[in-house]
Amino acid sequence: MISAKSNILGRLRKGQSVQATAASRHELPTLPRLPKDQWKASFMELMSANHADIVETTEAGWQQALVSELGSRQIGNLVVASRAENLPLIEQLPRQLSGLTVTVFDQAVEAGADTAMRSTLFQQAEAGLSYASAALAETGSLALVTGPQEPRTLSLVPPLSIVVVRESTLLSGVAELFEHSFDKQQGQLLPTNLVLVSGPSKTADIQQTLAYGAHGPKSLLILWVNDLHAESVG
Amino acid sequence: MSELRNQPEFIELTEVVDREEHEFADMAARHFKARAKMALENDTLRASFRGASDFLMAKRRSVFPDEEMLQALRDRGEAARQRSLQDLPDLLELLEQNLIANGIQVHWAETAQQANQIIHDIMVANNARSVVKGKSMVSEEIELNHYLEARGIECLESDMGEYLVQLAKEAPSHIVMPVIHKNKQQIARLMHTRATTPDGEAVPYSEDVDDLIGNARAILRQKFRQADVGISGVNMAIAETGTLLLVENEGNGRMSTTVPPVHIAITGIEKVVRSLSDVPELLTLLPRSATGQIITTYVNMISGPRKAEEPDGPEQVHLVLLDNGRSKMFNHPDLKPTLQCIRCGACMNHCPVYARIGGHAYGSTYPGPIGQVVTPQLDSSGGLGVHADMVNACSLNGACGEACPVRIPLPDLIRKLRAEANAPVTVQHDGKPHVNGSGSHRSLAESLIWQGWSQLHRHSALYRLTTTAITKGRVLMPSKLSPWTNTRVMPKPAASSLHQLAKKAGVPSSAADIKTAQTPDATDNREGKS
Repeated sequence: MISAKSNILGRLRKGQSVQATAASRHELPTLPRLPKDQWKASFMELMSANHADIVETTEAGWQQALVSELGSRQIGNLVVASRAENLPLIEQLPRQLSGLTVTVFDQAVEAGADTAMRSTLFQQAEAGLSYASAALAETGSLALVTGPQEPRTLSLVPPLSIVVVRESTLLSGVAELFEHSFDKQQGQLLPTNLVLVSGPSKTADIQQTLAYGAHGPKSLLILWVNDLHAESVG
Repeated sequence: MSELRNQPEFIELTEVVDREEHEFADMAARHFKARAKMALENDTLRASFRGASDFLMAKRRSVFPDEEMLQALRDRGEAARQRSLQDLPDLLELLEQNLIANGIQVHWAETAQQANQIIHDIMVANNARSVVKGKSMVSEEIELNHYLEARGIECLESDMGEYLVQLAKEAPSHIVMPVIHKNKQQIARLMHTRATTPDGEAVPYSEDVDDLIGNARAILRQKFRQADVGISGVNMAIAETGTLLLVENEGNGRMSTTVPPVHIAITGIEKVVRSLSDVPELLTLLPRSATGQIITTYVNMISGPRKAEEPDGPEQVHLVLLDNGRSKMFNHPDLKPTLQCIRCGACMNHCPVYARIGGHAYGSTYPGPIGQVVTPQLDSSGGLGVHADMVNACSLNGACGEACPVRIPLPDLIRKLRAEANAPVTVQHDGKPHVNGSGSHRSLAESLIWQGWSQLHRHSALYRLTTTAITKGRVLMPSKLSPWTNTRVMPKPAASSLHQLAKKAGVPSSAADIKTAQTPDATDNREGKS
């Protein structure tokens, strides 16, 4: 409705000259950011407080850590995205864990129809494997940049969400993430869906009692890869 | 029908749930004063609201341990919102341009009716029969569910609180915690008698919160999977990047905006910010002020429908920008700060009136202090003609203004709206903007009393004469003045006025006397300090 747009904008332009009586516009410096030496501790503390499970591991060891977590949690069906990093996993995981089926998220979740991928996600999938683009210290969050290699529903629909994150991607907070990765002037565009995840899904809607596993994952498992330490040792 | 549903216990519980529904409908049909009275007489309801208010206030305090930091954050929050409002029309155009570039379709609605129609048209164009909704107060504001259901479209709320409220055939009683007016026993009865599992069975009775949530999860998952359209609100729209930002804990917001093939977002025109750099300070304040969280479980930033190479996500994303009175607020010099609101609910959590009468008594989508300010100004609400009583339900204690993360001067705005409701006709025609229903509650007796009060304080002789008359004639004062004294003791005038006492004690009485009594040094010091 073109007329609605011009009517609304017309009224707003008229109102732009109206100074609010209570106006007190401040020119303020940006907020201080968390010092770098506290980043990791802050991330770990906040994530643990939000009921995420964190396994600290190494570049060489995280796949084995994944195997042992899948085994101890008796996961029968793991969904992984179609990305190069997952190729060895797709081949090796079922060999290492006899009861495990690995499903590759390589078909579109078609609109309207209850296609194979949709029913796999909603019915069979017990866990989904994601890779975080960054970890944020001040809020204890993982940044998931969705796209062909990181489907939106992969970290949302299966009851267990497993996220691999490398320590080298740790940043102070959301302000730094935006400056660092999504500066439009530099041609760094936002993905169709950027999600910050800070724990398993939860609700306190019933008498302020916290319950985990509202609509999204019931558990969040973080595989924390200490890639910085490997460098300093090597 | 399953056997369980024929059991006498089940039928008994059904009657209790039905009775609560009728009580709600009965209350909703009444005027503000009657609603407030009913709420005050309901002990269960009062316990629920008291518990929720105390819980939410304590949670908020725990994430703002440093008073100085809190005030610094509020300065920034206020500044960020005012920056956005200053450039509002330009930012809206920039937002539209960038959303379209990202493949998101933009629609403008001046009224609630237009917004409903736009959404219905999108559904018709897509042959859609079912909607799953993430939380959206704006969709409540325009009564979207009623509109779509009247046209044969199933609308299911998916936020746990909203789902339960819908099941009970009630309305949300809080903008962030929609079902805080019910305790878990009430919710257990509700789920047991009204919800149906994906297998078509009644949900087993349980007061365990994990069971209750687990049952609702199973029912709603099925709906997410099958819905034709997902509808959500928006917490911030970022103009420079063409992004819709949503915060939530449950994952239903992500589900509604990700799984169905069409996503329709609806928001008020005030929710736009210029760039990503405006986001961090507001994102710091919003969850802390709302639920006492450092961050919500999910921050969902949508900058487009699925691309050709992407395996999932909606194929269409729409944004409906709603005015419904907001551009009028923008033209009012005193009421403009109404638009700074980020809908955190901290004002209602801290309001002593809200804690006692609860959200439903207000009879509007937005309850509590921000509701008192927003509601009469919305085009769809009927204005002050309908909602003037709500504006009076405030002790002007100021708690809301102190809790507001973006420093909206709520008590001032409430006072302004009271004056507006009582404004004389001459003031209404002074060419300045006025709220719908301005002057609708003007009473001759009240205005005469205030005129007398004003005269009394302007003329010292008249003032002294009156105080003398009152102190001398104090025995003649009535001991009851209903309805004021129904719940209060009648104040008795003192035997002598302050002026008389001061005179007796030898305190200088005129301004000139006071000036000479002060030493020049003391005056200098005071000026030097400021």
